[in-house]
Amino acid sequence: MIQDHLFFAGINILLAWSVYIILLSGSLSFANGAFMAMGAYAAGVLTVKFGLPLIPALALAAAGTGITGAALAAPALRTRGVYLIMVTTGITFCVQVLLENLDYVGGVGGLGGMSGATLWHVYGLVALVGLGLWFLSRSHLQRMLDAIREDEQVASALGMNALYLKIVCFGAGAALAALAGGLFAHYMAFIRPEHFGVLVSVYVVLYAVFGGVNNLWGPMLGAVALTLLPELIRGLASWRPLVFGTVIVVLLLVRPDGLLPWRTLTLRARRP
Amino acid sequence: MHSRRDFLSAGAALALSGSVTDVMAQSKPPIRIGAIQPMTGFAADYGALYNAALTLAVNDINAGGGINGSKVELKVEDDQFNAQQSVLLFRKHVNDGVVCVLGPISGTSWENTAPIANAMRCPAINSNSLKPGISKRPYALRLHPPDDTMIPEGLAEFRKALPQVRRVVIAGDVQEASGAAGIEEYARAAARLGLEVVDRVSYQTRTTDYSPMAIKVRSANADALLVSSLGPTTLGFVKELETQRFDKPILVNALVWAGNAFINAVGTAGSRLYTLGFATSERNQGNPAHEQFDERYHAFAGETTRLSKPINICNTSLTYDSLMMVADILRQKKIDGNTEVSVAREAIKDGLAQMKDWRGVNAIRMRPSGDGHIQAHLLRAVSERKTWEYALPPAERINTPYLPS
Repeated sequence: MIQDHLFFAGINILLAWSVYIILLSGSLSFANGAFMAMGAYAAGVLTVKFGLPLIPALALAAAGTGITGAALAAPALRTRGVYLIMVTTGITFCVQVLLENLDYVGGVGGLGGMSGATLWHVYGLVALVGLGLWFLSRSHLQRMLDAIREDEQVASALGMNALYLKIVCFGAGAALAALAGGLFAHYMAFIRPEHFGVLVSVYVVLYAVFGGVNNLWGPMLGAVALTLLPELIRGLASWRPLVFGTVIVVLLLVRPDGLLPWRTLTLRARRP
Repeated sequence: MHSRRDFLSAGAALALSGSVTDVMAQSKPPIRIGAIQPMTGFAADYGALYNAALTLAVNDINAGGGINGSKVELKVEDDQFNAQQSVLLFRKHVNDGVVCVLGPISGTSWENTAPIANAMRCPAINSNSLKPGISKRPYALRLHPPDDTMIPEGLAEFRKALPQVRRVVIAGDVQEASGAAGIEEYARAAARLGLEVVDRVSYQTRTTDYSPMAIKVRSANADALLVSSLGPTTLGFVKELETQRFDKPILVNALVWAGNAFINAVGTAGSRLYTLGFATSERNQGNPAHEQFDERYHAFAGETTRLSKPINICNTSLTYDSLMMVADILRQKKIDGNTEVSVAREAIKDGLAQMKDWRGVNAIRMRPSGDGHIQAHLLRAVSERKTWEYALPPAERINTPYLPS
């Protein structure tokens, strides 16, 4: 059971970071459950129907989903705020319905036969992505993204291609969610469209918000805490969802910027 | 002629044998069996219903001295009717050293768990789900007959009970796997029985407004409606049909027969409602073992659960049978609590593989697909008593099995 918890904590860290990358540029995505589904199904089809090894299948699934995510972002990012939330939620619904009606991947019956994902795969990827985000957080690109997030018009006036950077972030977030989905599918051995409903997207955003979105450690902590908390309070039986919900509400009231609210300073900012 | 001394000796021997069995059972470590049930959440009623049957089976086995001197220890985990939780809890049971896992109960969870049972080489037995083609020999077997036999057999009886039915509408939840599979089975069975399908109406688990579907069903002007969806979804649909005064017979697959909530809540909307099943609480229906089980189950579940009354016996006896079947295999293979877990698991797997027929509370025939077969019959809802009863008397029921290759 501990191995399962560690595995899902790792998957959820990747998903929380997939939202964090998109949030870096000031956008908010409720479509990451859909990107996770796309990665899960694409990687599953590549390993089960085409016999590809797991890692190349994951790479192809992530690349395909990243490109699709970027292509969807181009029109979606014309909207902002609540409209962007509605558009990305719509993407999640569309992908779920599409998968339910696609006989090639099993429709509502689901797709099975995947295997091979281990803790090493997940935590290897967590380490790689974490390292990448750490370097990003200390780079000039982070400052540019901060500028776009704080005031997109000013950033554009300073010569930054805000839309391009937002699309890149959206695509990168989609690719990361796809990697998490691919690993999830190859651990669970069987997936169905209902595994990737809108609630998954909501949870993924919650991981990031709960931990704090100002640094890469916040989403990580949020994902681990919210993955393990329901297991720690399993003994509460039917009261578990109520206690889980109450903990989230209270913590967000007490710490509205998340558990780890500080901003990561870039190298330039650290210079005297 | 027996002397008084003979009687005393015999009595002492009996007492001694009883106490020896008890002492043996206490001295050997228990045999651990896992179960996965929804004990909390919206499907907690199912968990309470089936858990009572499992507990009754454990009590019966242990009261009889256990299995080769070892008591049975049942560990129940709560999956909240969630397939991901079922998988996690299945792995937990395997890592905790159980010799086999009973459940999970839902088709979705079973479909997710069956491949893992084979990968982890731990036997799993399902006694509730309906979607055909999802059991995986040799480790994951299902005792419950799936819809590929239940629907053809039940629909044949429906046809016999209601000979005026010629044209039907098929409706169901296309989003939920068991519901969608049932729709296809209805279509095949209807074609085989010469029923004309005049329309198909689909809805989804998320649907809250059933009025467009009900209007479509009414406008098709069919003689009957065939439905395939889970209890809560079906309840919303048939209530809407009642509101729109749809007065034709409705046949719903066994998704509504299982569980306690549907029949207790359907009310007057169930006045022309039929389902498929193989057991009721009626007497003199040709299975005395089930009548005895029914009496004991109601007394036990009535005392130990908070299920709304009357408790729907439905397929609970199959859950009881699943544990009795495992106990029987372990006894025959001379397995006890001292046996290595992997050896016990292989013994159960082999025992299940060799099993062709099982006679417990139910007479089950095992199919090559890894599913059980029990002849399905047509049941009708008796709204005023909140219970299911056979639609036809024993002599008129069809007892010809439909076993697809």
